[in-house]
Amino acid sequence: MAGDDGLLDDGLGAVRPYALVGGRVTPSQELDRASLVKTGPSPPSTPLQSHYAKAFDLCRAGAVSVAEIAARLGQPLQIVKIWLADLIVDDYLTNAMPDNCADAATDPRILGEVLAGLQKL
Amino acid sequence: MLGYRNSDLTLSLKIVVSGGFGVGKTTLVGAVSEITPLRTEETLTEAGIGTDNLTGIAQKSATTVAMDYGRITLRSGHEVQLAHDVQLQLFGTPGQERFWFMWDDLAKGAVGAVVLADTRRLADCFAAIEFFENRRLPFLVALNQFPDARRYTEHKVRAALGVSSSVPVVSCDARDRASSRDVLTALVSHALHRAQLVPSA
Repeated sequence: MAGDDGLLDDGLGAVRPYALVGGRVTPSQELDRASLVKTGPSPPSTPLQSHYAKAFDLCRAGAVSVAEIAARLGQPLQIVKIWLADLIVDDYLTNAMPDNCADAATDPRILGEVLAGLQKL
Repeated sequence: MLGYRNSDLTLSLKIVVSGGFGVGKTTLVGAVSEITPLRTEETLTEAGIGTDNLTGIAQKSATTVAMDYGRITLRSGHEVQLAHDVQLQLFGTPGQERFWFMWDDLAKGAVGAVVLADTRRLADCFAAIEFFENRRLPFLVALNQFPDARRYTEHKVRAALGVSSSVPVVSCDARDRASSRDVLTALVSHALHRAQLVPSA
């Protein structure tokens, strides 16, 4: 999907990001602004369209949040979520977070670790 | 239960930094973040547009809301053992009350919130306090010590804010990394205390 030869790339102005999601408003994967993604098991074998390639490149260094990718691309969060979801569907990107971490923010063991980590900063 | 060091996965935890306009949210996020703080942009949804006052901006087709973003990565090492590396995601809320529908989304699943306050304009943070109280999200009040502001005792500020004695009130210099880090430490300590009192279902 991300490799489809569709629209051309840079410089069309404000309407661009919305055109590049083909009118979709919902990502195919559940992604929160704080979700972490990283490069997946199968790197793209053909060049990605430039907006996908830029998003993919930001994930090469390791786990990075959806919000950070959106900010670095200078694009609205809603649009970037759709791009990232497409890259996940293609296995170019993958979830970088452990499973079952939905309640991490209220887990005393995890909070204890975070507290110890902050105190050592 | 998650095993120790069994993967290269990273936990993501959100911390919300809120408070009135110009109180130093951007400064605090920038002081503690390991990256140069970024601005995330979100376009207003229809739900937001419905509650927005569009008087005078009728020609405007979409509104963009910007938030400050920063992060701190905690890695497991010989000093601290972590089951997973942790990325603390810091989000500075948009100050305007009309963007509160976004706060719901921000607060969901967050560790807690810092309500940054300026003692010269304490009322600016009342709304944020009320929001987090209603959401039952752990929060603390951090008094950003502006050089020309009078110093008040924690007791006086607590009384003026009307927050319960269980809510920490701390002072900080949002420009200073260690001081801002101490605010986050106090918040996580408070969240930990709350989590121990109320076991998660």
